Amino acid sequence: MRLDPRVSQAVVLSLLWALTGFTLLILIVIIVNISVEGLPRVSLSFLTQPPHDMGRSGGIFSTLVATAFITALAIAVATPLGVGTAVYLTEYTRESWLTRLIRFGAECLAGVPSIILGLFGFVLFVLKLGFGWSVLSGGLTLAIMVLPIIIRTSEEAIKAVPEEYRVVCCSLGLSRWQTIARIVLPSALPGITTGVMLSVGRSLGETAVLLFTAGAALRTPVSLFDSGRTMAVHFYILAREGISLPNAYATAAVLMFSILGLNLAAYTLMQRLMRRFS
Amino acid sequence: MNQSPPDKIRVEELSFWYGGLKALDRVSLSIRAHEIFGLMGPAKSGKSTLLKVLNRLCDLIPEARIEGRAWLDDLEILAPETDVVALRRRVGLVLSKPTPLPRSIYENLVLAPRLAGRPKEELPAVAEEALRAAGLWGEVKDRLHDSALRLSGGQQQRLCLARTLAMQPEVILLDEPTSGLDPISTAKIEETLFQLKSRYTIILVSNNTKQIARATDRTAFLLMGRLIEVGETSQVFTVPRDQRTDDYISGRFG
Repeated sequence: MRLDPRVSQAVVLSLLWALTGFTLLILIVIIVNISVEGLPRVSLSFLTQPPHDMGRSGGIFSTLVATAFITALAIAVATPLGVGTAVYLTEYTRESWLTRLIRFGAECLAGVPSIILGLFGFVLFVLKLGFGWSVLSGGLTLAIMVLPIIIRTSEEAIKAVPEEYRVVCCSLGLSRWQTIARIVLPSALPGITTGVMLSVGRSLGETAVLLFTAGAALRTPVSLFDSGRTMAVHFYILAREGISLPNAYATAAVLMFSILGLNLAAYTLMQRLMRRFS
Repeated sequence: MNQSPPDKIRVEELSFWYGGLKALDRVSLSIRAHEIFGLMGPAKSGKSTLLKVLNRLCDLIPEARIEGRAWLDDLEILAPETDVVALRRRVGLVLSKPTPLPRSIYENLVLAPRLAGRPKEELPAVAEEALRAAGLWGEVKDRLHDSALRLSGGQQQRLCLARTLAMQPEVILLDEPTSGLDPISTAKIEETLFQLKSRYTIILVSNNTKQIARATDRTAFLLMGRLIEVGETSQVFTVPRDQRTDDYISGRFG
């Protein structure tokens, strides 16, 4: 017997609705849970005081600095490398075994578990190059981690720029680089920014890599060679070693809302940029 | 052949392949300075390919192969040592689809002149002159800094023409410039071409035979990459020498 199409339609619709609702519910539960447990302890002094007594009391100032420092370094290194690679792959090469190899390599890099990447960073930067547990080692290893994301999203964004723009620029006597710098990259900027923001999010939240490479010193890092404990690592240590669950929650809340706020800021900025010429 | 007006462009025994596909087959023709030269023929006849050779846009096509020679005045177009950027500034191209860049109207116009080294203070005058020549000045003079993408299709195409004029080329190639436009916009573009004739050499590709008959001085008919016939437009349309030309313009194929 065949179901009335109107009935099956209604059944499927409510099923899909339920699945979507459930997904949304999980997200909401996480956000609400962390907010309720963590936000009450977040205050100006929590953000501006250094941690005391291993983090049992005091604030998270040094971890905020370490997080910003390490993430900024990772993004500053990975963005030119990633965008440059994407430009090379899309604009300067024709599809060949070499481009496929580079792309495959980037995909593989994306598939490496972060804990293994951490070990690699430990061996290369901490030991071999002698940077020690430091902001530098952590930032560079994170850069390697987010590189595939930036390459991938930049490539997609550059490919999405209409081919006619390149033809027009070429027939207007622009060189390939002038075309890329003046037309292609500005048009691809929203997509590239999305990739960079995604990478910022990944870097802010990364723990395993940094346990191996940046260490867990609670001092505020002031140079590239200082060890630094990021918010994510701080949260992990507070929770894992049972030092202070309430402070762990508060740290998590700050971390979560920083990521949310940064994404929101980037989104509105892009909207404003894009509205100018569409 | 009558040599009184000098040849601006000369093409000799030109053949072109996309990979294994032959698009032009030993085409030879010459185009005089200050004429509107029409290229007509059905789809895949090689019209657009010929244009792409004349400003070396064919360099962008992978697996292209070219034989034969072509000159712009005394410059050998296909020679490897030819400066393609300089060539493209002398031979402007307007594509069939209106393709404004995602910038303001003004930026579209001054991008090429600025990069070609025109002094900054001359640029507003360059933009205005190009817009006037393309018959667009009155419609856009109050919103030069609005996005070019907000113009109508016909206005966008005239902007593209103006953008090409702003480079101050010697030759303008038009690849079916009115294929997506309404009759009024089409008429405006054709009218503009008449006015530009005194200063430029114009090659108009169209698969609209009526447009070729209306707007051009001389016409070539291409079929499957071969040059079938070339002559004064009035002659080609009234007493074609080749049966295939007759068939094409009277709509029996293509």
